[in-house]
Amino acid sequence: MAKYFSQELVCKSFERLSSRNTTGKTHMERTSALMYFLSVDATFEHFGVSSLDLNPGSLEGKNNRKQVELEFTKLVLVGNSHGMVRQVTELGRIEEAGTHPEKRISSNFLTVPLKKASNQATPFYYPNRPKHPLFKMGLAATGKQWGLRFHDCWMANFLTILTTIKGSTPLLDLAVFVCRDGAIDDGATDIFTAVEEQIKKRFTRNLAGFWIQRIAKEKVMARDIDAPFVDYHAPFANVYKQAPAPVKQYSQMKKSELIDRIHQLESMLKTTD
Amino acid sequence: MTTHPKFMLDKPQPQIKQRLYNGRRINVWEGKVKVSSIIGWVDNPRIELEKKKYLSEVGGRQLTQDEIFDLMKNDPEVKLKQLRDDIIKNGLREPLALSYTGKLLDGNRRFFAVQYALASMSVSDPNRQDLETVEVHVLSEDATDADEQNVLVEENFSASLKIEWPAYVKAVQVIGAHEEGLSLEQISQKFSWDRSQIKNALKIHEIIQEFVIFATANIDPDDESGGGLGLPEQEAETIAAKNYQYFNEAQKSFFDPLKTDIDFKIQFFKWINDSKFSSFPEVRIAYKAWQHPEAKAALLQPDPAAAKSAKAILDYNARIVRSGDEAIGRIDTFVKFIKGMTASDIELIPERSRTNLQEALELVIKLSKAASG
Repeated sequence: MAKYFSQELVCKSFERLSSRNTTGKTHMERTSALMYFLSVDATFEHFGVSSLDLNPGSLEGKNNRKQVELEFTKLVLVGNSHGMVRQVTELGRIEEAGTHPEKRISSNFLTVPLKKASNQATPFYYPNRPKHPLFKMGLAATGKQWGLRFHDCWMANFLTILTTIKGSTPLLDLAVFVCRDGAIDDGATDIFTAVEEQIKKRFTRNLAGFWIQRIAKEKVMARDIDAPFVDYHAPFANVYKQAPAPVKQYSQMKKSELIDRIHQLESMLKTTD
Repeated sequence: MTTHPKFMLDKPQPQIKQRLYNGRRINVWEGKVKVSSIIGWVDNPRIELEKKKYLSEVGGRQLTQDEIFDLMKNDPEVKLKQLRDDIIKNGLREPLALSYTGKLLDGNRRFFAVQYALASMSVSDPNRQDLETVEVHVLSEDATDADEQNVLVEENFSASLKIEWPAYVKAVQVIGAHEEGLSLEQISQKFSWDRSQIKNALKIHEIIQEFVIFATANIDPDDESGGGLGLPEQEAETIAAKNYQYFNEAQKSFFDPLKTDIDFKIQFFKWINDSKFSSFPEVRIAYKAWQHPEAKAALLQPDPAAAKSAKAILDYNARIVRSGDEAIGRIDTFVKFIKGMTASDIELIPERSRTNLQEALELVIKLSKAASG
């Protein structure tokens, strides 16, 4: 019989993935890059490849794009209540409303950097902020105009991307969050064997090996991992309580950020009616 | 019966009391005066050096209060601006001490800081009136010169017994405020810390939290790092508090590596627990040493001077690199000079110098071959 990670475990892991900084966009940008990376790796694993052609004009490119969008949606979509999309735009925070994840990735990652890379004679690397890229794109870097591969230094850069996270077990917590909906084999005795099984199923051998090895190193810092399983699946977003922003924080926001926040709060109000 | 000096305000009614100054009981009037009625102490030894410098420019004469005020404002040692800001925020915390004639005996810096505060406030500032009158202790009419001297000694020579809270204790307050949800701005106002200080405290706290997690984790021989240190939480927190400044140094020198290199992080925590470091420079080089095989091997030794040895290795290597750079620079300059020479230039060089050059170049060719072979 299959089992699942408990809502409490996923909530705690997800909360620990929050940024240490309460303002600024760095964590959001890094979350996006990380989610794109995981989506692409899952697509690599799905098709058994190590690079993708994302040419929007070819059938293969369209197929690949669709799969990346699907994997991205699986990663960031955490709820869909009353027709209102609940998704992760920043690790540690759940946002309501906004653009659907599929649209989010197709109009951002699959459009802006890829298009730029396709017109460029030199290799194009992404992301640029921080300058620790996870991907290389374009003809010069991949041999295909709309090609996409992992950057040669992705392992070190993957860890740098995680440095805005305040928790002490980012790789383990990220794994729990990513594997939140997976049915875990009954043979898994603890959280570590469970995430290992899930990661191996979903991601390439390279990424899985690297990730699992890092999780093993984090074992000594792991907390709140007793009784991680339940025998039913329940979305963690239903019980996740993120710390409300202090009122004073609003006065430090830009007008556009404030408008976004008001829209978000209004939509939350509507769902409680 | 003695009466209070005329420059003291009648409200609140001045009270005569006995106070101890340098072991001697002296009668003083406690009450309030207008700042404008106080005579600043122009002979204050605190600014003697600045005063001498100024007098050498303007000629030997008695300085005015305004000139003394300017000297104090511009002397960074006096920190008048900081005191002014503190007084604006908190008011005058200690009464000034005056002679019966209104001469300042103690509180010259505070007096000028109040004037500075008043000068920087607008006339309509509602807080202005709080500073226009100040609390004072005025020596009674029968006070002697010896009494005045005792006040000076007590206020200026006796060591203050006030001890500032340790950095760790202050940081705990700041972290508490952050966890309550206060913004950086609010915390900054509450504790008079600037934003960067607060951000640093939060980062140090993050490292300390991880240290405590590691230190309280059970020892586990099956774990690849050997598990934690198995310490009770209280003990782990005590170690963290004692090493707060070393954690601060770690935050400044290698915060990101602590986040990305977990092997280093665990080793650093073990080093902290083992009291491996005896100075800030030794902490500062910890990550560089970790990446340098020879320095790392030295640092991993159980020897109490291991960190010192690791630092010495890194310093030595840095010197070698620097001297290597220097050699490259000199060679490049020399090559440029040689290449710029014409046949007629060379003809002018004495035979002996040309032979020396030829021998040197042959030696370089031989050594280069040997080095690359």
